[in-house]
Amino acid sequence: MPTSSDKDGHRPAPQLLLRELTAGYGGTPIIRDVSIAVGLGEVVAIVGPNGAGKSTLLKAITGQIRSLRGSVRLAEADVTNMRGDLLARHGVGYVPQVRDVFDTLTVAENLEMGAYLLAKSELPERIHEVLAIFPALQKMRHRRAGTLSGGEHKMLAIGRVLMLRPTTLILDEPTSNLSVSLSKTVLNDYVRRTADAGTAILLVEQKAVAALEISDWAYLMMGGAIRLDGPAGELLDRPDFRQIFLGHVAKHIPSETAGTG
Amino acid sequence: MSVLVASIGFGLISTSILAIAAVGFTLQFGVTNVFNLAYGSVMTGAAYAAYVANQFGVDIWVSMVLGGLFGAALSLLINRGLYTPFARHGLGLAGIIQVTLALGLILENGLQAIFGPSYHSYQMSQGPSFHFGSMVFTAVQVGIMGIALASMIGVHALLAHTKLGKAMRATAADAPLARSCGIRTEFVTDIAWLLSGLLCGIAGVILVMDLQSFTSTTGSNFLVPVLAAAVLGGIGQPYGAMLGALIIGMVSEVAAAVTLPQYKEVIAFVILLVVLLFRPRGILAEVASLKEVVA
Ligand SMILES: Nc1ncnc2c1ncn2[C@@H]1O[C@H](COP(=O)(O)OP(=O)(O)O)[C@@H](O)[C@H]1O
Ligand SMILES: [Mg+2]
Repeated sequence: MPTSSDKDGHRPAPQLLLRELTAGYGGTPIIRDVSIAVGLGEVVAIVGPNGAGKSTLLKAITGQIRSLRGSVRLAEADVTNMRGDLLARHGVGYVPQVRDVFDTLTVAENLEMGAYLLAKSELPERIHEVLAIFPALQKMRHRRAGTLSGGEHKMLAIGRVLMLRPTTLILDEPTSNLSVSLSKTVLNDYVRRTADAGTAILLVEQKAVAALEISDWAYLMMGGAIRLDGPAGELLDRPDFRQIFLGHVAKHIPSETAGTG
Repeated sequence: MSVLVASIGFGLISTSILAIAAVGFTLQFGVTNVFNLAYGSVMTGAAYAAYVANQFGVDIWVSMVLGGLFGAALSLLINRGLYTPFARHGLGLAGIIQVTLALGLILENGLQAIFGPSYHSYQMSQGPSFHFGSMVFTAVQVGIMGIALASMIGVHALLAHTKLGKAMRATAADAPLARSCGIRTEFVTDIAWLLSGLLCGIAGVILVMDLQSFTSTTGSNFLVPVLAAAVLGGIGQPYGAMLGALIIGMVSEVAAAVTLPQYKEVIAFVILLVVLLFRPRGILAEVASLKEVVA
């Protein structure tokens, strides 16, 4: 099985493949002709400023808004505009930017809903495995998710999505509202490691530097379109990327770089 | 003194009927976001369905089950055939409420066209009397309280301990997120309408069994206390609706006993207004939000 793109930019066969995807709210396109590939074992980042259309793109992939044009493929299957529950059956996990846990359910019940498609007999073992990744959740099992702090909340959201052992994982700003150190933990320990275990991960991030550090490939999105892409490690040094993106958010980058050491 | 004791007995019966009706109503809103003002008319429809069965010689308790099933089927049909298509065409929450109100009137007038404006009664006996201290209940009233208790335990067991019940709560909390977990939310929504319709239908029949006569407006007249109980408990929260039913049922019967019986609905209405003014998220909301602050 081909995993992770190597240093020369050879990439694994796409598990998730978007071709010229165009979508918006109520007939007006917000994102236009977006083509993106994510292979098994890869973390592929989409970075871009607020309002670029990143969340809209993920909503189109996950069947929450209808695509107007283009296609979404999973391995060999065409899943364009497929309903969310059927995508889950195709092994797609999704953590939205907001509203990412069931507030009125307990932590344990949230994990159970994450494992909705697993056989009941698999549940205890799977909960045990996921709680081993997030030991802090163990003692909160019976608390309502709505009472968790920002960090605990995000851990639960990621734990919930891992319950199903997704082959394709779509994450919308998993580090928003998290401290710098917790962001690093989420990206390095959870996101990168899940990809290394063979999952295809599409990661949307505003914290561009931190995201690019753990990604294999990256796309820059602005104004609803992909402006450029390349190996994540090289993108930060490319003059065109710096000009378009770093120039755009120059104020944010130095502090973020300082924070990540 | 004995008036007060008797009114507590009446309060328990009112609470039982209200609890079943209010839990059904709140489930509909909680899972499917429809504030179904046709609920009272569906109760009446179920009462007439039981009446027809009863006229054919079917035992009243079996007729009650048939009325419940009628309520379940009618509710599912209403949602599939009317509310969902309207919502799909982009009609918002407030617009749907108007549709439910219109449907309630249509059902009510339809029932009147079929059965006429006069009052009807079931063929049933109230059975032997039972004494609990100084309170006296008929066998029918004991049956009503038993059904209410069993329904509440059943709803609790479903929501707290079964996969389907948890999926229902997950869908209520966040339907798109539930879908992304693989939950077929359309199916879960259908089940929610069947279940809430069952409760609605049973409530309609036992309301009539308690009142002993009814007409096409009986259910919709009962809607105010149902709304009061559901809103008091925090709309969409089944346990809140149970508590709300207890408060509305008890307070309105006891208050009616010390004032005048015809004030019962008025008292429920006043409680509803006070709650909407001071606790629009229900009496339990404070507890929940307090927990959030502490965490
Ligand atoms: N539900 C919505 N309805 C209409 N427009 C929306 C909606 N959500 C987002 N938008 C618009 O789509 C554009 C892209 O938003 P979004 O995809 O959330 O950007 P990002 O995630 O990159 O910050 C914005 O201009 C935003 O105003
Ligand atoms: Mg976003």
